[in-house]
Amino acid sequence: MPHEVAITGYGVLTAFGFGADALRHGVFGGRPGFVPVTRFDPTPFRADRAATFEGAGPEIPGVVVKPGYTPTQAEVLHACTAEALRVAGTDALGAPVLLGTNGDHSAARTFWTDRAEGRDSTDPRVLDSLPAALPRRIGEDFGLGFPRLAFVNACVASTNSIAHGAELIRRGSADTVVCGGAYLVTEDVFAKFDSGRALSKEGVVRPFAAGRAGLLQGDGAAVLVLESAERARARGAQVLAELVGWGLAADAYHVVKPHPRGEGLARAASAALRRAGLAPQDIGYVNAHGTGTPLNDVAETAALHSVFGGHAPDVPVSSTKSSTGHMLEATGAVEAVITLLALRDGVLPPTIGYQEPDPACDLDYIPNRARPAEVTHALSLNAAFGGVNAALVLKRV
Amino acid sequence: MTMPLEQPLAVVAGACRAPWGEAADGLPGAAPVPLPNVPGFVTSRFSPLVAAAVDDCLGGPEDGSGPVAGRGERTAIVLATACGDITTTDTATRRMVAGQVHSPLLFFQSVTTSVLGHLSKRYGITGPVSCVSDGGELAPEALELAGVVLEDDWLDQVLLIGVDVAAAERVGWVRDHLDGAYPLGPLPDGDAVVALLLRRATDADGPAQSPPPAAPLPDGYGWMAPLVALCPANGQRPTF
Repeated sequence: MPHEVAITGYGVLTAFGFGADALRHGVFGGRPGFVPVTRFDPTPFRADRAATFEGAGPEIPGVVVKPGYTPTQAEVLHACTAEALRVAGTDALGAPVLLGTNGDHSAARTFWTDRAEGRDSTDPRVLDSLPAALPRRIGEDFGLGFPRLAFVNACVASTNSIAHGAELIRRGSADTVVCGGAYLVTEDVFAKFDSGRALSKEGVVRPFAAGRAGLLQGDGAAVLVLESAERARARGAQVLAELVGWGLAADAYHVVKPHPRGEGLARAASAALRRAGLAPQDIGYVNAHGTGTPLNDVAETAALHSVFGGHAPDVPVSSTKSSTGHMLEATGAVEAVITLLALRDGVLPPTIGYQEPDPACDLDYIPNRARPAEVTHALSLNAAFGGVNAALVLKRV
Repeated sequence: MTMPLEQPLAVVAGACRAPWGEAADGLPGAAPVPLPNVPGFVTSRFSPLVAAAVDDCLGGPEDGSGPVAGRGERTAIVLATACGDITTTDTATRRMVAGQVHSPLLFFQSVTTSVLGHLSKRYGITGPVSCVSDGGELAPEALELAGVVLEDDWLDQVLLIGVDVAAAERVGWVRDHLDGAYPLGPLPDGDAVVALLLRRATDADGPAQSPPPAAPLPDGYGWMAPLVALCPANGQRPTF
């Protein structure tokens, strides 16, 4: 008998600060989180903005953020995990730890800077430059269990971590899972995206709109506590939402470009709906990947047409990356929390920066202002280089 | 494993490449043949290693008769790596430290899923794609993940890839400075890769080995030795 999956806790950080109220103020309030980059000199690059957390907004418990200091992935994951466990009201002892992270690049940078300056590194955070160190560190910090896996499949990494956690609960391998992901804007990764001309020079991100000019990066981390619904009910925990569907699929199309008809993304969404036992018309909101790049947004629109058919124009869709920026390995986990809040609060977050429609993107993108709506099921989508796609379906309780 | 798989798995095909650039006599896959040229992946051997092992495991897709033919939608990929493409990552970082602007080529090469986009297109694989890292028991964790993925009735098979490039300076530092809390499992002696195509075992595959795989494990492959030991030999299809 498959087990139902409940979400009972979360902790989240974005450029707007720590926690749900920061998201309500920023993302649901229709505010962009982009500021001039100060944690490194952006002069060599085409773009100069990112949605970095500079200390304005609710602070990260136990972490003092001030000019010149960028928190580490370990610090923000620790804070998010502590908050998620507090909200869930469980210590989750023995729970697997599944985190989307590609390691802490700032730690790798420290190592090579020391080398270039003839010093032997003494910074223990260099350990965290290897992805696997972070779930191990969080597991040790909180007495959690195994496996302790880092998901390293780029922009679907934390979506994959949540999907795998749900699968472990469904099959009875675990009754509680701690999952999520983290990415904090670093010069190295910023530079790679800049060299690939993926970043918007306009300082804003305008997903699905005509003339959109690319993405901007953002700080993000989120940790969710997944539990079997039976366990959550048995201990009297508040179930925040149910995770009823998940799916992954590949494009088989290109090393970096999405399939122009969004075939892999449509397959991932359809797989998630199939697992949830839902019809397309049951979905009342889509949190899109919506990077704001010319290719992604057209492909994603095509995917949604494929999944929803004639119902597609009636489904509200938004890209909250227009507020948070693209949080890479963390994006799926943060957007899962945003989707959860949309269900619980009865408010759909907007796509901001939306001015002129693009004829190739012809859906209801919730332009610029949040929209009240009582929705029962919502779909969250993510995609990564290599045509790797992932989808989650959340249900309001 | 935290819970037995619903059904034993059989290894339908497998291939490995030994530690690269060093004498590796006696190791499975230690043939001194060049790595394939994978267009665009020029900075590191990580992606060419993956491509080489997958081609050896699946055979070229050109004649349309390989094990993925007609099953692309029902094939998943799981890639496991302890350190990832540390060559590309460190090349990029060292360029930054030296004040050089990044090359666009480093952008996509630095992403683990990029080479899987190349391979999924080459073989028409459109099932789920997962990439994981674990510092300790990565081989059994990867096998369990592959098994869990294959519990989806919509899938027929999983292509499991284990890969790491030779430990570089930063990984060496981490190994030398371990404090015991963050164990990094044994790494291969050099570049190494293994690819296994897994399906649900049938009665014809015989009884499952438990725990997998059968000893002895090959030297030189570090954490991925248990996967290398599962490579089919002499027409046998290991089950577990």
